[in-house]
Amino acid sequence: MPQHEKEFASQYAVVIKPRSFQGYWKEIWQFREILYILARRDIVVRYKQTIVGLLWTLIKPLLTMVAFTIVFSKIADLPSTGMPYPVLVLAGLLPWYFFSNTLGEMGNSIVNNQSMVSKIYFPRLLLPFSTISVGLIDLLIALVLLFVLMIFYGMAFSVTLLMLPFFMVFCALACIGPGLLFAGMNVKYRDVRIVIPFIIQFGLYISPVGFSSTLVSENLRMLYAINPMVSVIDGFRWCISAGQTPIFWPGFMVSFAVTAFMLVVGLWYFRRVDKTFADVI
Amino acid sequence: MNVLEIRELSKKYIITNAEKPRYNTLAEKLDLKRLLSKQDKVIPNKKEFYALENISFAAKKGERIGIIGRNGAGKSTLLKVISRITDPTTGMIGLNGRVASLLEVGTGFHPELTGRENIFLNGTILGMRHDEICKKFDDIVAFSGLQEFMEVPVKRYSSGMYVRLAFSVAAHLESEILIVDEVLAVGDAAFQKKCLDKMDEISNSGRTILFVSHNLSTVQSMCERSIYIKDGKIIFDGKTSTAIQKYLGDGQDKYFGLGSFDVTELRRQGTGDALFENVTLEAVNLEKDDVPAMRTGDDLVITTTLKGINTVKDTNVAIIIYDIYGGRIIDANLAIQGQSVSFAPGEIKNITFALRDVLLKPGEYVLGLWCGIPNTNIDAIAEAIRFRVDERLSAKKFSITFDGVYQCNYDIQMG
Repeated sequence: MPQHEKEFASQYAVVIKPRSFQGYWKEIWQFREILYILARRDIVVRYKQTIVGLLWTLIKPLLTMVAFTIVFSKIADLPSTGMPYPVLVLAGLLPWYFFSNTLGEMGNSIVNNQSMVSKIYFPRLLLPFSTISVGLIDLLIALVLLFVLMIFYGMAFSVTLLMLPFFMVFCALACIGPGLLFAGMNVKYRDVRIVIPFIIQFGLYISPVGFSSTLVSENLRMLYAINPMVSVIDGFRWCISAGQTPIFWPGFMVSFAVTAFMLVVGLWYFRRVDKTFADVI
Repeated sequence: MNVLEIRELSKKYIITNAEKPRYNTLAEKLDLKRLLSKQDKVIPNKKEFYALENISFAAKKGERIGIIGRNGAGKSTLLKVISRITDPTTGMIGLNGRVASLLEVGTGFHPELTGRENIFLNGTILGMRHDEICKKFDDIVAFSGLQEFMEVPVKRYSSGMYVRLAFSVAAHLESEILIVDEVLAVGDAAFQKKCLDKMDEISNSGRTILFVSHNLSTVQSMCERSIYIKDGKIIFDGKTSTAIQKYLGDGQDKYFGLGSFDVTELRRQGTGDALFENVTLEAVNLEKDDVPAMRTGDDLVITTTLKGINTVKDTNVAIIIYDIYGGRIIDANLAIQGQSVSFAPGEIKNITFALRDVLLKPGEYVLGLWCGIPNTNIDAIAEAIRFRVDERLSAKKFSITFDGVYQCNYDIQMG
């Protein structure tokens, strides 16, 4: 730092300079209440018309479960592993909805809050992060449905269920990487808004939501696990079946590595562009 | 002690010029021949534009500084850089204390949420801590005067109520530096008075205020010192009255303000059988000071000069005044008064419209010129001259601009 800058900086508590990244994470911690209040806002707004909001959270997976069960089990005659077919489908649907809804919301989080971004300063990273809350609440509500279904089919509740939060976090992490990437790109390239629903729909086809991942031939499973949702869904099924549907561990490691890689890329990109949001939006 | 210092601050934007030819198809864009030949290099349609250039000033504790300048002069950009919404390109800003900015109040309000929920939402976003809001909650509600509406979603609020709630939250921020941008443009008179008093209180408690407004009389009454910004540069920094004088006496561009303008090069449409050559705007200034400005209530004399190109018989000529949103406010023409004009080729005629007691409210307006007969334009210039109407500094009783465009004369009786 040149001498005159040093002298200037010594007089002030905060110095704003071009492209200064100092204290990025510290600041996020300082502003953490915004994360809480934004999450709260989204949840309150989501469930403002209580009956409809709550019902919808249950109806959507329930109807999809019925449709998938008919298509995959009755028409395509695919085998179920370790649990009744409707439970297998629902155990895949819940993390999938969490992932896809959050990815969609996160990808649009900056653009949807344009007025705030262009008028008030706060760490921009809090906006995409706050979108996780709604999906998480939806997931927790839908879990009740899953438990009811398990009781209906006489399935035992085992200790493996305690691992469910771990896979929920895994699912959230798998979402954050691409979510941040989309959120950042969306500001400059609005076509991202159109691409996200397509990717989500495509993702449904390449994730084992309606069928068991054991149907994928052994030599392709490593490749299949590049999609982290494969391991997340397997994990959910492992938890509720008391470990009867096994997790393919080498594939799990692949999923984990992909998630970590995307997370780093997403954070790196978001951090690189978030200073320019107000100028570009 | 300085709480804020800005040193050699510049902010550059890169504008992509959309008017220049572009490659419309992918094939054109990927034309290999052109890419390979180095001579025919594509010139990028990009232009640099300095929204702020070499800005330096410092603010002391408790100081109230007005920032004035026309739309697009860089005021908002300056505030955005200070409040860290956008990054400076070069230069430094030093701060001793928190900055709270009210760049448009009510940002972050959610229509579905109740007044109470929005106070917490907005307060947090503006930088208040939860316990701070809890402590001040009653004050905020009392200040807004919306006690009965706290459990109502703000989507059911009137726009006035909305702004009152928003400003109430903002007014209770405890930052050392407060940036206020045009927040006083709305709301009823009593509430605005309350806001001004609150701002007084804020600065008397030792906090610094940067105040941006188009309402010059408010700036005058609020701030001792003002900075006049034009084209991203500081033109004047000092006594508010001097800054305002400089601002009012300064024309912005070739086609702005009062005086005589050659309009032959302006964009126009029509048959071209007669053409507008010149237009003169002259305000009969009731103030009788030396500032060449148009003020609410002045007479406005507009003289157009037309030249016949071909023979034109019995045609109408009009001057039209629009607000900046394109709303047609005044249409003065010959036909309304039962008159018309004819031209022989090469003949030049002056037509003067003397508009009396033009009670346009302070703001910017656009003058359009039209010559033609119904359904046919002979010569039409939609946007000829932009001009500003300033506030009457005398004869004002209450220094607040209310919404609307027309300030009619009226008497008040109370029973």
